Parts: sequence; structure tokens; C-alpha cells
Amino acid sequence: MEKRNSTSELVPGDEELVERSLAGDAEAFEVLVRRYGRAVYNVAGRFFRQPEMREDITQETFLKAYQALHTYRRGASFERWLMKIAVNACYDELRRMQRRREFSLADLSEDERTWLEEALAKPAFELFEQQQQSEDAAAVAEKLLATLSPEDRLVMLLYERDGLSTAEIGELMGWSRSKVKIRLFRARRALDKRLRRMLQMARPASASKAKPESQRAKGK
Amino acid sequence: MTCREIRKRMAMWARATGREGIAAAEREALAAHLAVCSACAEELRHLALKRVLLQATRAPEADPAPSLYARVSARLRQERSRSVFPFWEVARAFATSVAIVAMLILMLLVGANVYIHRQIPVEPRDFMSALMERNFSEAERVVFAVEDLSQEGVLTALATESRESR
Repeated sequence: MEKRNSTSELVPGDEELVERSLAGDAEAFEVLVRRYGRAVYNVAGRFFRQPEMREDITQETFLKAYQALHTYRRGASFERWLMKIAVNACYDELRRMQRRREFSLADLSEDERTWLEEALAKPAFELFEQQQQSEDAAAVAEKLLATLSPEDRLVMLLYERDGLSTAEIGELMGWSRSKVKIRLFRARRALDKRLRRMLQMARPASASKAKPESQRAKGK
Repeated sequence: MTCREIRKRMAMWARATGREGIAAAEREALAAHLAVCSACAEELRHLALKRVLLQATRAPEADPAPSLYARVSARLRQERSRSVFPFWEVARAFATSVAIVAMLILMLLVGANVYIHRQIPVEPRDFMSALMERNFSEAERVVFAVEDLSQEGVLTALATESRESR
């Protein structure tokens, strides 16, 4: 970061590159694209798994940044400024996406259903600490999250999954902290409701396999 | 630990801050509690599923395809070629506004000219008032209309004209 912000002959800093871009130097902005392309691509990866979608968002982000370059304040972190644009581009895309009306097990493929049943059959501890990610899990999650509003989805991912604070989310989105908190409260409630329903729906199938204790839990 | 404390801990672990998992010491206490409390065990299952699903939504960090940079560059070039031309766009906008202003000024001048040189309709007057207003052409018209050009004739005609026009 420091190296990037300092101006040296070999490695021009972000600010210098921005100024050169504003002065009409096309090459300067290309350097910024190469410098932050990966970071923007991976910000898009926080919300979208498909590489095409991530590429589209990366392109969109740099285009928006180029058009808004004159609004970048000297002295501020260019990377932060750019990431804000990237997250907002993701949010715009989430808003454009068709929202599912509700989650149903019938929407899951055979493999996805199997994944869910196996996950629920595991001891809770093991499931909790599971690090391994699977495409099936991602697909189930995608179908579940697609029933949330774009705002709920965004705060859920940034807060619950990525561990950002409400202040950080507020800064990224240009929302007040109270708006983030209200959103977060609603998003949690909405997701928990869907998850509980999913657990209920998936249980009869998994219960017959290896979950006598969950039956006891229900009966209590 | 009470159920309340356990749930609080679990909610914390479920968030990304607890990515490294549950600490061994706490794990034991938690396991002991869950063995006797099915409600908390159920809550942990719920949180675990939430955590696993949320984590799964994130694509693993990766390098974009090299073709992406070429794509972005091409799009930026397109954008630049559009924004290099603002000179012509500005010039055109300037020319248009100059033309509109010129037209307005022209219309104003023509209007003023017409106003200044407007013909005020002259009402026919009798001889005496025409003379008093120095409107000689009107006075002439009255005199030429008189057939009897003797002094009395003219005076009579003028008097008649004055009466009629009044």
C-alpha cells in the first residue's frame, strides 16, 4: 500500500496515475486496471461465483471508476474508493436479478438434496467446523439467498460471512449506521425463517438415516 | 454455562470472526452442555448450516482470465474515443446557442423598426382643426372639394365641412 501511494520513478503511485489519467494519459489508467484487476474480480467473487459475471462486474467497475475519476479525492485511498464502486456494482447486479418467491426442496437437484441431507446428518459440531466447500453447497445457498431482498442479501454476506462491521458496511454503501442495523435485523430474521423451514423440510428424509437425537429435540 | 451464554458464544462463532473454529477449551464446555440440552444442540445445527451455506457463496480467490484485461482496455478505449469528441460536441452546442441568440436579436431589431415606422391612421378632420394641427394635405382636400370658389362659397363650404365633421 505504501509503495503504491508513494511516487517513485519506477512505480508510480495511485494518485499520480489518477492525475495522469485525468490529464488524458490512457496508459496510466491501464496501469491501475492491472494493479487492481484481481482485487476487483475477487470482490465480485464475494457475491457471484460464475466467472463471466465476475468479469462483467470487473469491467463495469473500471468503467464507472474511469467516468467518475474526477470525484476521487486526493489523499484518500484509491483502492478503498475503487472497492466501494465494485461493491456497489455488485449490489446493482443483485438488484437486477430476478428474486425467487420462495425456497422449496423441489428446486434442488438430486446432488444438492443429497448434500443437504448429508450435512444435516452430520454432528452439528462437525458441520459447524466444516471448511471444505462444495459446488452443491454453493448451489443450495444460492437458491436460498435468492429469496432474500438484494439489501438483505448484501448485508448478510458482508456482515455474517465476511465479518465487516456495521460502520464499514455503512461506509461502503453510503448508508447510515442505523439503516445498516435495521437491514441486518431484517435480513437475519428473513434468513433464519427460511433456514428453519429448510431444516424442517429436509429433516424427515435425513432423520430416518442417522439422527435420532434431533427427533428427541423436537419432542422436547 | 447457561443456555443464554452458550447461544451468545455460538452466534459469535457463527460469524466470520470465528473462522478458525471453536477453541478447544470452549469446545469441551459446549459439548458438555449440548449433551444435555437439545434446544441448544438444535440451535447449533441451525447456525452451522447457516455458516456453511454462507461460506459456500463466496468464490475462492482467483486470478481473472488474462483476456479480461484486454476486454476492459477495449471498453475503456471505446469510452475514451467517445469522450475525446466533446470538443466537437461543445463546439456544436456553442454554435447552436450563438445562432439562437443572433436570431432573437434580429427579431428584436425588425420588431423595433416596424414599431418606429408604424403608420398612425389619420382621421379625416375639418379644415380648421387640420390647419391648426398643420395637417395641410387635409386642408387642401377640403378646399379642392369646393366648387364655388368665391370668397363666400369657400367660407360656406368650410363652415359646412366643420359642422359635418363635428
